[in-house]
Amino acid sequence: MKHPINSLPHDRRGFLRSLGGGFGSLAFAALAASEQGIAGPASLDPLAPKKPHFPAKAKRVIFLWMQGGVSQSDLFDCKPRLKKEGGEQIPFNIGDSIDPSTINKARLLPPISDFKQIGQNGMWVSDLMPHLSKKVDELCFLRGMVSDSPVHPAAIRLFQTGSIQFVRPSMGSWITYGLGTENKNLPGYMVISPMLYGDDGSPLHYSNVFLPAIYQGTRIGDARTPVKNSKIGHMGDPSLPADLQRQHLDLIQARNRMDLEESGTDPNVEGLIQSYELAYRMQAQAPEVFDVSKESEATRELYGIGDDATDNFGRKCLMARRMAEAGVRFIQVTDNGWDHHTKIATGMRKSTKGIDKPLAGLLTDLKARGLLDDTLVIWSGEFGRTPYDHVMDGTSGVADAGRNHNPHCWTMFMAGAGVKQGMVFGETDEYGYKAVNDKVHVHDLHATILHLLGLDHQKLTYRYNGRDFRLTDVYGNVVKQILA
Amino acid sequence: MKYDAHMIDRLVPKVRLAIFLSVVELSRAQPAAQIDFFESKVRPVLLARCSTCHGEKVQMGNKQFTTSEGMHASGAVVAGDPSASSLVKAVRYDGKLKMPPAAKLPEAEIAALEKWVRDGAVWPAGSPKVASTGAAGHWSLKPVKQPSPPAIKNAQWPRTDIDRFILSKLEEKKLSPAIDADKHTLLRRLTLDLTGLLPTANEISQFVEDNSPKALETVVDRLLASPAYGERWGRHWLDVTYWADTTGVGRRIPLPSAWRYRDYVIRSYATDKPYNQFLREQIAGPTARKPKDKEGEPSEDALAATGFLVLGPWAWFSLDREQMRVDVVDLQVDLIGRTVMGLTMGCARCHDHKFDPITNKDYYAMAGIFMSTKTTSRTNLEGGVNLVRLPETTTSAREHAEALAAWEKHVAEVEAADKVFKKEQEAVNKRIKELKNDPVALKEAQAELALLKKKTEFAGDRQILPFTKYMRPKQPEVYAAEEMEYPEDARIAFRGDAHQLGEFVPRGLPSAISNGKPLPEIRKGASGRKELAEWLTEPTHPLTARVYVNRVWHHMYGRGIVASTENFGTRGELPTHPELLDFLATRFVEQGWSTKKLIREIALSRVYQLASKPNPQNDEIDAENQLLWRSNRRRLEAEAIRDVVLQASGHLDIKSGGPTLPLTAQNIHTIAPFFLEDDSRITPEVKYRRTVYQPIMRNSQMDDIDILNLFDFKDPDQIVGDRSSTTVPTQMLYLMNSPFLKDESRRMAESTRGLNDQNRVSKIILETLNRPSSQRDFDQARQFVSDFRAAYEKQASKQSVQTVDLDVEVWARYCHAIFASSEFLYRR
Repeated sequence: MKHPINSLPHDRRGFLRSLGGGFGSLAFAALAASEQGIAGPASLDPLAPKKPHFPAKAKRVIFLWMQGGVSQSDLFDCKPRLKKEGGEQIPFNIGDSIDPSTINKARLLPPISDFKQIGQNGMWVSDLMPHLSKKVDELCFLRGMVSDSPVHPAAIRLFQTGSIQFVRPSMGSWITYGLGTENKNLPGYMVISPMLYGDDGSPLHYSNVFLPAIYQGTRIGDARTPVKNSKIGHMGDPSLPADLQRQHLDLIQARNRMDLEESGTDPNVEGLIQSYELAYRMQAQAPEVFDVSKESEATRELYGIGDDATDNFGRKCLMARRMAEAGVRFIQVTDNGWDHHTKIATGMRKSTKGIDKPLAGLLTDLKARGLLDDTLVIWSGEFGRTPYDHVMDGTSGVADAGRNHNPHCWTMFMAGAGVKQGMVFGETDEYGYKAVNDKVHVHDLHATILHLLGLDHQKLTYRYNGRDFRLTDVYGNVVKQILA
Repeated sequence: MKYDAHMIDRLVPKVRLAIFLSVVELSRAQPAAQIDFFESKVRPVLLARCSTCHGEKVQMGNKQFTTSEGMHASGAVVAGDPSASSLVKAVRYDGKLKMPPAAKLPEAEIAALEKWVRDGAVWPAGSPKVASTGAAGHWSLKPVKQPSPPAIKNAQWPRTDIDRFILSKLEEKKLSPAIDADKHTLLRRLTLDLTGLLPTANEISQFVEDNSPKALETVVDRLLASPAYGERWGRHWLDVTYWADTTGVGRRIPLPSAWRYRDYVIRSYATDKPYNQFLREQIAGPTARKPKDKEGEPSEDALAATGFLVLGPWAWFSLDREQMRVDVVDLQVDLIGRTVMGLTMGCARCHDHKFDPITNKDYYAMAGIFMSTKTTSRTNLEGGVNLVRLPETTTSAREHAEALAAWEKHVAEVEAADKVFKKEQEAVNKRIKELKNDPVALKEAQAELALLKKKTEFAGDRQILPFTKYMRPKQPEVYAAEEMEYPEDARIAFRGDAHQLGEFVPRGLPSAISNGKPLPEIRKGASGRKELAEWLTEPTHPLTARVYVNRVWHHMYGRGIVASTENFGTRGELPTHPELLDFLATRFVEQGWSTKKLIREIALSRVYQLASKPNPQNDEIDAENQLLWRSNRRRLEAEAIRDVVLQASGHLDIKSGGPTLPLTAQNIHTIAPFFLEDDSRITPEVKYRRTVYQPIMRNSQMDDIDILNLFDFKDPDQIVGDRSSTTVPTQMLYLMNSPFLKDESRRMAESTRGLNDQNRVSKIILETLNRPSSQRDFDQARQFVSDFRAAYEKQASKQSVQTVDLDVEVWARYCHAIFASSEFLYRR
């Protein structure tokens, strides 16, 4: 987050000086040029698109973040023995996470829903997500996901930043830092409805930390507010028509240029001038991009907008597609409420209903628009859930039963650019408690995501405090088996 | 520990070297090379790759690879024979057993394990060796020298000794210093740097007209004596503490007495409390040698000062109290390390510091001091921070009794109203149930219920009764550290885990940092905070004065002589002017650790008074201006922007001190533990006070002071001596569109009503940019006003704009543009 004073690269400084005179006019020329579709001097803009380390299909990411931890046992990880032995004692060792005096009372919890074999690869999927089930052949499932922590804050940090212990830049910041953005009128990294407060949410989860500030996620809304009511702060002045505001901004910018002329060039004031133009343009384009009401009735229906159960997530997904279309590099969409400790039979049905249609709608829409060819879609929570009842003393009835956190396995999926379709990678034990084959640790997932974007996770580094940092720290192996 | 960018020097826990608790010596004469190889290449691999499943906690397959005993017993290694060692086979993925199961190790690590086995699988006895051998020779740990100002060629240029140090380097690099700043620029700079406010019209004319050689001194002394100075520089100190008005890592749990530490800091700066005393009070509190008040009880200052130690981002809802305790201690050790000594002590929690001369034992010696210090209570009351009642006076006792009586009466009233309400509510609810099939009557009953809620002061789910009870008047209290009844040494915690404890380490001070005297012994039965505080404030301590004068320098020039203000270790930046740093540190101690004298000396130097204009020739040599050939242009901090806008609009309320948390029924969520709602609003009587007095939350700041969230305000959970200064579009959206800037611009415009255009411009420019207006300013303003007015009228005629007072509207836009422009937002 440091911006040292006058820390211009020397070549850029030389470049500016060679033009002589104040810089304000130059900044304007550059912006004017890009407005007309003429390439401005790219080095001036840290958000300008950058070449990846190697060619890759994926150009951007839509990350659907299922905060709380989705139960794999009720969705994608079908275990006949769990169904058969539901209600019986836990037959496997669950370590020290249980009071020995109650171990005999704890019960396996059978899946809350029926599974069917769907798709050409024969994958078993539960009937909780009927719309998404039709897409199985387009998805790439990772069933052997592994995390290091069974508690939310730590597991979330690991997933979002690659580190449990330390405050590190988020995945989206790293990717925006690595690739820049495709649309100068929008931030490169957008975060839709994140959890902001409490033990499970923090702006740190989308923060640049020590990367330059321009790579921090720009937030719209928060998890507790329906996205319908969310907007970026201070976007526009309702009391001032656009042309009057431009006139007002012209005075501000004239004063800024005057300042530069009279007191000498300065990269920070130059940055200020550029940021004003971006902010001004954001006002014009961002609300447009964020406004899903511009979509046809058919599209809105596709995403489940208008139906109480699916409206909120549907809007988020549609907004994400509009951002992807507009060239935002990394788009994160949060859906929270997956922490089904109790009453999973009703809770999970509600949660899955909320996302099923929008999710399938998003995939259909992206495909129809050709966006799936260069967009990577990621769907995951921070960990999985246990195959046994959260209430360990056997007292909860079937209706109240729920599942506890489980970092030893969960199922996530990716879709779109660069990943195999209809793939199921990884295997858990016969109860779905632990991953046993083709495990993928979160660090490996990060390495793989970067790889899919053409970035080598070992080369994408940033020097800070005397050390080269990476998203994967000293870990991470690209999961080659899932690459298309 | 969150948000800690500087702690990244600490290694990832998995590769940390650790202290092993049960080491069996395998060989009496262990070759040094093999030990080194083991410590650098083998042990880290075993820890990082194997210890999760085969470590202290878990021994899968009954195998443990983190102690020599365990390794021995596992039978996985046959010394000298890699091919017979199942460990080697498993990591090679030869055969059925493949370890680690997730992924094969990198070749280099496999090779290291293999070589280690082939060479005899030597496991060194005892703890890992100290990795930091060369650090004791690091510049910042050597005694502070007393350099004389160097010889220079241009003897006419310097005004003070500081100038000679600076000029000497400039001459060496053939850099010519910039010309002096003009008087208007200089006064604006000084006033902002020393007080965070702008000079008034009177102050400007006084200074500009004062042609005496003492003109500048007069101004500096006036500014240092103003209350605004304590507010600005007190805030600088708060930046290197964990202070905030709330605690907890998630919910905003109010700390209704936290303001006392804030006010203590501001008061200490305002009265120029010597820094050594200031530190002693904050670390040792009432155990420090200091005057006691009449009754022999500690004074408010002595108690409030230790807010330094007790206020922080503690995770109060952690069920693991033992772990919480060691984590709190860790933050305290790190606070002393980074804020006072510029050293990242925290690294040594898990291993000897890799780069700085802090051993694992040094860490736990200091940790013992804080283990013996009471900073938390076992209740969830006020976030569990240790509360101490302030000494009672007759007045305070009477006031408290009166407040209590009034409160009790109020509670009784609310309770009675509540009872009535509940009864009536029950009745209406019953009717609603019965009226299910009669929509008209149902609607009426529902309306009745809503009215009832209003009448009995129920505001949504924020129930007035629990809130009223919560607001029980208390006798004045303060969050303070106290001595534990039974001071205890700390035990080494394996990887910082409170449940894996090793040997006890006697309480003490870091062994490798020498102030030229033997380390003091810690008295029996005492925590050792007193000894720590005294040791830190010895005039010969190599770090304390250096780190502090560097902080002051940083705030005056925008960059420290050591740029990494919290890191004077081997991984920190080197000083650009080491002799000057020592010269200042020496002077500082000689002049009684006086911050004001230090600031005065810097402010009167010629180098502080230079213009900021760049110079192409100098840019070729020192574009970063590291050698200070000119002044640095810096954006104002969030607080300063807000304060000077309010000052210019005439809205600033300069009331100082006191509680400012908005503990209102609207803001308090009454589910225990009570917390502040995320949409809390600042109370009207606080809203226009200086930003330093606004309530400060641990997560993002309140909407009313959104400017702090956008303009790089310091995160209360971090130690930040060097705030970032970003330029991002969301800031510009704020500057263009926020109600705050619009309202204050309007207010300012109204204050110029009745003046002619020329005088309006003059007044606005003078009060915001603190200089006379140029012809360009006048021309530009005239053009804007006429164009904007015409455009506005045109819009209004189309009826798309509401009718407003056009004169004020147009001039408000002009003021707004000035507020939003770089000349206003930056200090040159």
